[in-house]
Amino acid sequence: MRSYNDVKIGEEIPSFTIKMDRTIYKQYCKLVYEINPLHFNEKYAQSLGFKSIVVAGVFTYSFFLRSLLTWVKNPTSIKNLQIRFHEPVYIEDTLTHRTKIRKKYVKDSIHYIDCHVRVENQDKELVTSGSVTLVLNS
Amino acid sequence: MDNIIILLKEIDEVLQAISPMKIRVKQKDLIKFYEITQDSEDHYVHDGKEAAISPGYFLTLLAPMATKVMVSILGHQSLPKIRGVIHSKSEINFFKSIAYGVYNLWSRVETLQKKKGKTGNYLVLTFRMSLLNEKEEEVANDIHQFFLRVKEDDN
Repeated sequence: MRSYNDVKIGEEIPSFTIKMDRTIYKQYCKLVYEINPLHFNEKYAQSLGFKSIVVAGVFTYSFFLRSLLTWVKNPTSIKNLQIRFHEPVYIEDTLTHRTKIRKKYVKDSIHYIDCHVRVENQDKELVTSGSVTLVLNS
Repeated sequence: MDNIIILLKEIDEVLQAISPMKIRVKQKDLIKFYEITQDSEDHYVHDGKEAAISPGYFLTLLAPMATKVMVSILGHQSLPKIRGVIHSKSEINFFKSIAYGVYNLWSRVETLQKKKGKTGNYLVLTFRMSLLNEKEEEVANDIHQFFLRVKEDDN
């Protein structure tokens, strides 16, 4: 498990890349009983001006924390997560997640680190970004 | 559309009426989730203790609830006709670890604002979903912001 003292401000954690596979995404829509046609009906999505099916934000969440959790090796360390969706994520897009340590601090004897996550598609467009606060052991 | 505060109160009452919603964290569904997202329960075993629930799964679990909340809001008679819904922002706070079991989910509208964008008029809606355990302790909350694109004839 990674400790507070091991972490350096500016450190980048290994990136994580995943393709928004159509078959897998269909299974996900079934699992969550997706009802918004924007997320499964190509014609409907196009009628709203999108080029294809827009992947639900919550599906992209599933991967947002993956590299961070693998790196920190403590699944209970995440305290706060803020995500902003900049551009739509389309089915079959390939997303790369890059995470950087922005800040480390101690408050009320609890050791926190703040990270910034950038998610880019295959065209290097920023599609999602966010900040994550974790609590680590000293 | 003129009286946004009244509209906010009305849709908040709708959310209070559907709260609390029951959420059951089941191992069977969690395993399916790990399969779909190519993840593994092994990543969530902590200090040799029982596996924690993946935060990603927790968010997935709340997704259909957020949909129910949105459907309830969009079905409200005082709301103008909506052409499309865009999920723009989300904030999640974890206060306690989430384990298998039953939880109560309470939803409230936080803000509702009118905005004019490049492609038309929007309502910007923020609502909060709070997850409480059987001891009525808040284990996490999930705050969502949505842009509701208003049909032109309702501008």
